[in-house]
Amino acid sequence: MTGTPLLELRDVYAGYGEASVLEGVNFTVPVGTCVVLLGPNGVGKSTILRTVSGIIKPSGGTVSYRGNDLRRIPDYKIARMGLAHVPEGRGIFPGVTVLENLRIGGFASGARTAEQSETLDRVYTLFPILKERADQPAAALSGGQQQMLAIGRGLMSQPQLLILDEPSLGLSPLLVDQVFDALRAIKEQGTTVLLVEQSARHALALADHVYVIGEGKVTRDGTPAEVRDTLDAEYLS
Amino acid sequence: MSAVIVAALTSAAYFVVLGLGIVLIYRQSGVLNFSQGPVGSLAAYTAYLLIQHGAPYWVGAAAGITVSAAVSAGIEILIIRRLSRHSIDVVGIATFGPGLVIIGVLGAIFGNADLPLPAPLGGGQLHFGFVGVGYSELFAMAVAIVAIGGVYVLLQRTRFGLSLRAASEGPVTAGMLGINVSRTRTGVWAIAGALGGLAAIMVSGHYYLEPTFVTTFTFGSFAAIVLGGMESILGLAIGSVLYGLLSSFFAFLVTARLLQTLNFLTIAVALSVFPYGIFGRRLEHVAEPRIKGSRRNQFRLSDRIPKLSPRVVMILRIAGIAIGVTGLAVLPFIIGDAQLYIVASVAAMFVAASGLNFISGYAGQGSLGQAGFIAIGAYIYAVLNMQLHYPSLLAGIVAIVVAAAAGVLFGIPAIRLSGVYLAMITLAFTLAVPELAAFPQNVTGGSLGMAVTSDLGGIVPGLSLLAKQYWLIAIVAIAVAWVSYRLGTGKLGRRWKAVRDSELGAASIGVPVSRTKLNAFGLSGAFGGLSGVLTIFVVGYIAPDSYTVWLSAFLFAAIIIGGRGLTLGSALGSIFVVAIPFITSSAAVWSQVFFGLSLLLVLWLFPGGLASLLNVFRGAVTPTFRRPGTAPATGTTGRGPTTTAAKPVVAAKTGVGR
Repeated sequence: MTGTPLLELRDVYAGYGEASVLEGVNFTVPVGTCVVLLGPNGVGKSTILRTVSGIIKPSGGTVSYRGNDLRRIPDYKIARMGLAHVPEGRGIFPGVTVLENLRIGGFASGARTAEQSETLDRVYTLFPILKERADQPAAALSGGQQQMLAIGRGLMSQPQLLILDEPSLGLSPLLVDQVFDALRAIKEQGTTVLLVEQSARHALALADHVYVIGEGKVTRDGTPAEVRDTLDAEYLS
Repeated sequence: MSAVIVAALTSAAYFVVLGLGIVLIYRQSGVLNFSQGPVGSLAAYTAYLLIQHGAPYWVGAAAGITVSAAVSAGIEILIIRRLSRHSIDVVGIATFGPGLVIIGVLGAIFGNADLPLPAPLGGGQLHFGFVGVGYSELFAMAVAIVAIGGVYVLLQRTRFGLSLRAASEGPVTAGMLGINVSRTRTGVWAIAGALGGLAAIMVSGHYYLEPTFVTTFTFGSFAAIVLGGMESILGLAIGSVLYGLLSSFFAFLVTARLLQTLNFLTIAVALSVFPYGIFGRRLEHVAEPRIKGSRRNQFRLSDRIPKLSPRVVMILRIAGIAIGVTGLAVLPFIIGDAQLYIVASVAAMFVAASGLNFISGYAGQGSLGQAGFIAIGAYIYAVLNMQLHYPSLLAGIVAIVVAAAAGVLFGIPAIRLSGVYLAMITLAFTLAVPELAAFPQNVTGGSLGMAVTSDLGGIVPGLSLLAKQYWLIAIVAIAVAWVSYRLGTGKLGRRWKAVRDSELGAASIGVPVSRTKLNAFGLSGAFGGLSGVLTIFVVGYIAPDSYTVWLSAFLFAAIIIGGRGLTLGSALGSIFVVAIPFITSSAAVWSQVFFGLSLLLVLWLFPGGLASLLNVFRGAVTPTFRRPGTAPATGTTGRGPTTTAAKPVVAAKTGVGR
């Protein structure tokens, strides 16, 4: 692993109510790389991402982003620090239009609406369907289109770190290919990506470094090639 | 005729401005804000005070609106934000707290006398052909149009509006995208407060100031809001004009003494045909996890108290019941009539609260209709007993049956509704029943009411009539406690809870959802009616102003304060809502303030209700379903299952994926 860490988790504990989910998570995301978290359902992958974006606060350990300890910073301020979270299940606002969803994504950048036409064009180039349907309510989009909208909305804040929670969930294989093509383009434009995925084949193709999560901890890590050999066959389906 | 149309449009203007604040807060958080009226009236009183001291009208009005906005924002920051653990209907009832405080303070300072506020533009008229329209009517219409336009632009054309819409559809997602959701919420409450203040100042050109005047007006305008739909600003405008016309023509052609009944009937009919109003639609929400705060920061009394074994708990419980029943039986020999009267009132309140507990506690449907059922029971009994000379027992039974039937009948539109719409229709019902009862003046005594003498003969000679009445009520209350405990813990209770937690899930395992809810409404009506009969018995007098929205709200507050879905909770809550005003009656003007504050304090400190305090002595609840092969968790250690075994259960409860 080389490069300065953009994000670093050290010995992070977190949970919901009385249920403890994370029990000492450690990992680093260097600038300009794509880091993938792999693991079966229920081991705490989404919880890790929620801890990073500040929706839940860790009960122990440190989460540092660009040298700032995120534990005492509220979620909306973390978003304004250039960290965009594309949540599990997409989190599209159904009652507002596609364009308005994208505009909301741009709020965190602090830029005025008029200054965002360039970013908007970039998103439209990546996902042309969003331009076609810009004035329709987001609820009218199909699942794949909603995923594209969610990623596009994340990009609108011009983030330094884009974190994505299972972008392939519920999509047909063809759409998964499309979504990952877009992620590759995003990565190549210099955005750092932290990705949680169950579709290991796609994720490993994109990753620079992989952490395997099991029962609230990192169980092993390495380059995609190193991890691929030790992974169970089921992850690679 | 043209005068009626002018009156209709003026009413529509009031409805719009009153409704905008309600709709804004509802859209943002799903809460029906009962503090809107009292907060609004602050503006009118502030303006009155400043104008009295020589300030120009517009300065007074602007200052008043500012005060309303600030107080409303303060309510959000100090109260609403701190109740995030509670469900929406509880937050709704909590807004009665600051409302009562404001009404109490205004009453204490200004008295309940009617004070005049001058009309903004004097008493002149503009003439359009034959039609003369007063300046203040024109002013009201202009203000309404500006308010509608302003709120529309704010919501649809500004960054704040878009943030607000995003935060209302998915607060967690909005926060994660950089929107400061708390500040957005405070902003909405401030705007709603300002609109309430504006409405109060508009209305007060026509009515005298009195602490509850805006509140009464707001409740009466629910039909306008519901007709259009709570979600749509345009719908609100159209609904207001429709209901303005309907109510003005009804008042002109039929009678002005049944407007609350018209309000209720309009809501019932409108919601039966359009469950979200004519122009409304179901609010859509982001599919997002409900992140509840970690428990580690909360003070938990239960961790510091030694647990008792189930056997000891059982013995204590039986002992408690025995002491309670014996105590109730011998009370007339110990305390005087004045105190006995209070205990009898608590018992009658408990009977009504137990009934409400079926709908709002077990079945989870927040209802503000219980005072309506009490009124039905009381009036049927009074009329049968006094006018038609039925014997007391027969009159009582008929009254209960009629109240139960009214519950089922009322349930037919109500079971399709939930949340804010159910709150509105039940509240309108509470307002309509006493008005309807007072209408046939020669039968019911009209708004003055009538005396009802009870004929309890010499069952135990040597005791006062009140003592005999008290015993009757105590016996009935004990029977009600037993029946509601059995119902609540039996098959019907489980069905209610299933419907409360998931109607779809309940239906999928064969629970007849509609019938289960109708059962709750019918029983609720029956117990309400019974309570009405008992109250008449003690009070010996019936009058329509005994059955107010406040009584309904107090009853709902009682079951929340005591503990939802718990028989003991209904009892403790009834003691609370009767005793607090009694204790503070020496300072009558402040009793509302005290009640409002203590309501908030209980909601904040004891989210599970007072009855849940007793549960801290009990060990962990024995799981109903055990994994095969594991030893039953006896709870004798007081700790229940180990943490690892409990983990999946808790995770499932929070409903959060990992």
